[in-house]
Amino acid sequence: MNNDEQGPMENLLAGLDQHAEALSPEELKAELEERGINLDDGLKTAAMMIKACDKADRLSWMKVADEKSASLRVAEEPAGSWTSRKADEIVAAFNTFISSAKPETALAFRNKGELSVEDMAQILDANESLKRRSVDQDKARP
Amino acid sequence: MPPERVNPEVMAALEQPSWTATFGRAVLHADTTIRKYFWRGFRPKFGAKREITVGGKSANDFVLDAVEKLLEGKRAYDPAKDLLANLNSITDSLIWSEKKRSDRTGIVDYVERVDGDEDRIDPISVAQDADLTADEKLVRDELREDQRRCFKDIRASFDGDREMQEYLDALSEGIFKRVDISEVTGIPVEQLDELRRKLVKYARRFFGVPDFEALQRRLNEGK
Repeated sequence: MNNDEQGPMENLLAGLDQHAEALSPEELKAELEERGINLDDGLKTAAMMIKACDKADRLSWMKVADEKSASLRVAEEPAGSWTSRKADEIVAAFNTFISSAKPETALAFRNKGELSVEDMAQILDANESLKRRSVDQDKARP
Repeated sequence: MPPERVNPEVMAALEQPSWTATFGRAVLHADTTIRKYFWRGFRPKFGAKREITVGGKSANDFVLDAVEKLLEGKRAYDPAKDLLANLNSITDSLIWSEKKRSDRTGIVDYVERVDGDEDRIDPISVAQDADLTADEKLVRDELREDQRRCFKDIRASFDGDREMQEYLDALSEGIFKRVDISEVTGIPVEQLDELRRKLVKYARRFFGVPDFEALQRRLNEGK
């Protein structure tokens, strides 16, 4: 027998271990008790450990979801009213809005004649407010 | 960076109705692993309930550590194997490490290995003959002789029970598969589990002995 080989007692123990799969729960418990091991104590500790880990796992992901949600809310919030911006920014944004708006909307504003920069800023603010409300309503739909 | 999720396969395995039995078998395996060290010279220590410990940890503790490591992702879960095989593999390694760290008794350590066919084999790997000093070789030879003598006595305690002795012979030779034992001994496979029950019932006092002298004491206690 070289050093890597198991002796008869080691083999006997290993064999009995492998054949333990046929033991009923009661027999298994009794065999462990013979060895001074309380199965119920171990199971109780394991159950607490699994429950705590599961809870921590769920909480950590709820936290991630909350953080994402908060960052999305910040992104959705307006950067500020158009009325406080520079005139050339307001005019450029208004022209972009008119060119991308539906034809009837664009026509309505053109028919209104000459608009002041302040009018343009208020229209842009109103448009963004409408867009945000529309997004919120879409989210609220089941 | 999002937190590491608990491996859903681990969680699913732990939530199976068979979990209770799996935990029990894993504890039995861990305790057996510790007992096998006796035959490599490890001097057992006992906990408050007379359970065998290594570094103050019992078989229960080692399996709980293994569960924790799987949950925390510190040990990989191999989905190709069942939960018991995963736990056994981890506890073997934990016991080996703990023994190495906290206990210097004995001459050689076990390392668990599973071959490709899932047949569990328990070789002793670390130390080679060349690594042993003359004194260690002497101890090793004594331990091997102790094993042979203990086995012989346990076998003799079943004189007159041919099937049991053949079952013992097969196990002591490292023949563990039921079909193989049946082929070698002629004992029907379905009878082997009954033989195991009988063996543990009548000889359980002998499996925890660390050497031949202890076995003799146990045998005399029964007279």
